[in-house]
Amino acid sequence: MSIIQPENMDRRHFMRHVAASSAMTIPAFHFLNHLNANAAEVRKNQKACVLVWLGGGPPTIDMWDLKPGSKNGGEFKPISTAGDLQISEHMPKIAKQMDSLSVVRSMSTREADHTRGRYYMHTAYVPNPTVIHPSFGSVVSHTLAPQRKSLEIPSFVSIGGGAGSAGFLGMTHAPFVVDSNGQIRNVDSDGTDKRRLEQRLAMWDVVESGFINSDRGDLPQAHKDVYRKAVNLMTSSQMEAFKVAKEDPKIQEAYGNNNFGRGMLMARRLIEVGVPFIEVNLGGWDLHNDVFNTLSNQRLPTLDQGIAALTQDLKSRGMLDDVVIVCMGEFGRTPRINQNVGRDHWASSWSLMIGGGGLNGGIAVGQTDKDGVGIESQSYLPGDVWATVSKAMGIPLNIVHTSKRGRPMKIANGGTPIEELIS
Amino acid sequence: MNDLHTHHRRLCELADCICDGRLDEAAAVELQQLIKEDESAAEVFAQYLELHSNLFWDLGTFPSDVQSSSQQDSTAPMQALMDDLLTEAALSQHVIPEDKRLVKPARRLLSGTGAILATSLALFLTFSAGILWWTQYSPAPNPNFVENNPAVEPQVIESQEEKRTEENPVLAENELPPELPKIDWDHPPLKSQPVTVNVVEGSPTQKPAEVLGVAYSNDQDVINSINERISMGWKDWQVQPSPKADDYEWARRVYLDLAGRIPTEAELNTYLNNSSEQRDQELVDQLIESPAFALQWSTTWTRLLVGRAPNERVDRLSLQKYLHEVAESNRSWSNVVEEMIAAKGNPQQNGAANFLVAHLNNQAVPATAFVAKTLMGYQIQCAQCHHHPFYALSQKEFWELNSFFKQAVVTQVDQPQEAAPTYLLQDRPTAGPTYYETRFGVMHAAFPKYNGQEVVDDEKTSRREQLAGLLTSGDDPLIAQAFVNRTWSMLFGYGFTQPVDDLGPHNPATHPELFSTLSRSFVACDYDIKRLYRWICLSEPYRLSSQMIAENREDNPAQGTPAAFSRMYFKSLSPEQLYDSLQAVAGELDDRNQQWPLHVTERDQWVSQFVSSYENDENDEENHFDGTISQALVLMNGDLVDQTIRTDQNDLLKDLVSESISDQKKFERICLTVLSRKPRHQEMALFRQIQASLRDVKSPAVRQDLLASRLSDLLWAYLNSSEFIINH
Repeated sequence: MSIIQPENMDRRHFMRHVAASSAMTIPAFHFLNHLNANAAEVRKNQKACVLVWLGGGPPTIDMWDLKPGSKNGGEFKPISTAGDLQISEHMPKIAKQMDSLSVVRSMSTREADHTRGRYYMHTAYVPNPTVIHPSFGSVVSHTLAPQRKSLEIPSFVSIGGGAGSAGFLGMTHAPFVVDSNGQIRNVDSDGTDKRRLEQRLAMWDVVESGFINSDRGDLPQAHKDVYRKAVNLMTSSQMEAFKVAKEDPKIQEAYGNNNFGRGMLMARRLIEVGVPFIEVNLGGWDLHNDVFNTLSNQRLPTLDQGIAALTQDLKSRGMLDDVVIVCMGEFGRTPRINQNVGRDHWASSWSLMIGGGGLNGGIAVGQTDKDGVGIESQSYLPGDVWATVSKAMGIPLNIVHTSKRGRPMKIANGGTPIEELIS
Repeated sequence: MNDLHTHHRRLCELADCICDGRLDEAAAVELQQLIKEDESAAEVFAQYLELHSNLFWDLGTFPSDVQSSSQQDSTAPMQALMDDLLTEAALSQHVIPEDKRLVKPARRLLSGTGAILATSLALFLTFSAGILWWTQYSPAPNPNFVENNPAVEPQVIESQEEKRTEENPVLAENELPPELPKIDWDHPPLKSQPVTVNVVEGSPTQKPAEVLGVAYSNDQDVINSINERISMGWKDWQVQPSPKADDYEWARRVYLDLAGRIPTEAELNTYLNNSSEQRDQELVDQLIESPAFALQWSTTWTRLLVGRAPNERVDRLSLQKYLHEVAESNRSWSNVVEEMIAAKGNPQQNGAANFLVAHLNNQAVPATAFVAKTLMGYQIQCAQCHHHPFYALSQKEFWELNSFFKQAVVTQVDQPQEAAPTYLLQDRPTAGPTYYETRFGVMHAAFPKYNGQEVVDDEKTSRREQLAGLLTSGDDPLIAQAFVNRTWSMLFGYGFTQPVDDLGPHNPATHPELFSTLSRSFVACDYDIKRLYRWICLSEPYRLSSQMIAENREDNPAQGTPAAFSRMYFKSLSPEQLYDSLQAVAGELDDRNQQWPLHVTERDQWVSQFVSSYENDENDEENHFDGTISQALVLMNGDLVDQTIRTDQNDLLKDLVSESISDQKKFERICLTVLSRKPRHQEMALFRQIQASLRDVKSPAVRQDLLASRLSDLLWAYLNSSEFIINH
């Protein structure tokens, strides 16, 4: 689509029109009248987080914490990096950026089922039938969106899905799910002119308010808030951020001509317009069979290129100190190699990558034993990771959310920032 | 913090020991110490228990061979100790300081909170009873799987629970250990427990204790039972029912639930103008027997059985055709289960085969989990591969069920290259156990075994046929319970358990007797799907309005309270229901019946934009539709809505513009068409405003155009209302 702007009318002008009363004598439509006109301004020093989600559970023992010489070691060799640690030989590009990135090698998370693990790692809480906890992206959205008045697009974007839900924080903080191709469906109101949209919304407001006032709980009000966001989005020039194809071809090439690469590039563009949390999904890690071939031929080269390109790109734009990059899945995989040359689910000792955002780079935090089955240092929970991210993003750790039933819940489940990364 | 961390790690190690049965007295003392010292440790321990209580189910299914293990004869002090530990954990979790900030201490809220806390307390107690039983290593009264004997099983839990409550010294106020944090004794969970299994179902005089539900054969008996049991629950929860839904609200609901779409204006009027006293029943009967029901029901179950985006070997439409036929000829659900479990052949021809074809990847692990979860209503997938000895038992059980699928294989048929690939679901002539390895690489063998029953193990006998027989035998098998619970939840928005597919002693039903009555009656009438729908749709709770009243504001399962069904809860329209409802608005239903497969294909295409697969071995996926910005954008700008609101594409709208009735009436009819109700006062005022804006237009042609455009805008406004995308 193209920006919804009549040729001779700038955005501010349009908004004024929309906000003014229409041909019908219906009160001015209130969604649109508070919008900030300085929307296009890029805030360079705004904090953000990119979560690279490796859905299925990556074999981190073949990526970040290799065990050469162990029976569990597998086929890959470790290589030296620009940082003070070794990683897999199949991630040579990341290795060059490792001075800015670190690895936590002592994750111990106890949830080895996909659904439960995905929930736990995204929310820092174990699943509970009486409350739905928000994904951390929704927490960031909830905390930072009020401070980013000029942001007209959703503050939690999920590229490729799988990012969980906003839980008790409400639909306005739900991840906005997009494809990495940059086509946002149904954003263009197909030639409907602005007057007409305004009229429709005014009529809609009458119908909607009637239902909201008919005592049906808080869902109708939430629906109205979602519509406000959707209308903002439809009329925003920030939608350009989704158009990866407008980027310099050289940069596109650096990120990789695949969905993941485009997703990572889109993440950078979204950060530039002020989106504080972007999750990029790279699936296909549930490697019960044939783990080494799949990793070396498919998964790792894609991941390597995307993460290295984003790190490099952010660095060269002076943004890396403001953007935390976290790369993890719902759990790790068994140190032991199974009968099908695969690795199964394993949550008790695994690694994730975290860097940028002013965190210490180039280090390995924590360690596992020589076979990778046990942890020989302090271990960490998802709450500790999200507390670290909060710290890096300037989100206070004393925030307590209250579920709709009045149940208080600490941010990041009361986790503690990981000392070695923040000191 | 480091200290805390060490504490928590140690705590988890000790908790592991409990589960292993390795907790000696010294370790138990240490554990007790840790929990008493530190509130957060107690919380961690409580969380640990919460997690593992999901596997309490497996605990109940303890195979008899393990009981002879060399482990100890546990002693009474150990029991008491375990009890103390568990209760302390439960208590301290509930009195962490933040909990005291519970806002708005209205009586209803407190009693609601009490319900929840009591539920979790009950859970801890249940669990504690379980652990106790285990540490004692007393022979199980019935070595069979409990899940196949549900008539007895809840009683077992109840009595254990009661016993523990009586014996438990910590529950008594005056005997609380002094070092525990101060407890607010006015806190409702400790005073009353409205949500235990026995209290909810009220009067003890009602039924003999041994029999939970009744298998009725008369429809009215079942309906009466629903009405009685649900209203007893209202008393127990101290809520009042909302008033009856008006005829408009009820008709829209029953169309959405049974026909999968809103009623057209004509259909609505037919019902409203029917002067028969039996008109509700007539409408339900008519809808259940209509092709629309077969379409709606088969759509829902196709999604539940294989998801919206299964692997390429699955012929989704073939499965839906099979289910459509089941609904049309009202074949019994047990038949469907048998046919799907034992299915063979080409999935394009044998629709029933698609269920397994969708899930036979990865050593049939997803098949095992889906059979358990979707057909039997319990969650077993965690047990596939847990490293913990506690889970090792259930791991064995998991693989015993899995072993039934050992012979099953999907092969590709050799064909000329240009032909589309064809697959076959077959049984290989193999026998013997399935092998699986524990986390530490020890290989184990699992023979097919279900409900304690071993089956014929030779190459010629189909294991799946034997499983099909086992699953569908008995007067209240799990497949009946799971189906009843799910159907109830489809019609009310919530099942008797939350989540709906997680039955078991760890997750007690809100209305156990009613649940049992429904599932037993369902079995007694040979798993008659349509009768089950009829019972529920003609019940009084189903007829209630969705409008809250002050006296049932706290009945809010969306916020975690147990569902009392004191009003109709919201159900979001599925993408399929939305699609079909838009077609109803455009009056495009005429050729649906003959050409439904074409319709389904087009609809699936549209729905696919909202689905993403998780790409893991569990074959699960997510739908990002409900209430999201993406959904709002679809309704505001999507092609489908655009077609619906255009006079050149929506014939109904076109006709309405030129019809010789007043403008006011035309606006009213838009409202009726989309929301199946009369306009509210504010909407009438809006209509007058719109009319006023047309008043000064002189040219009839221009006026007609303007009117068309206003009607179109109004239609847009109604379609975008939250009322439209909710079944309420």
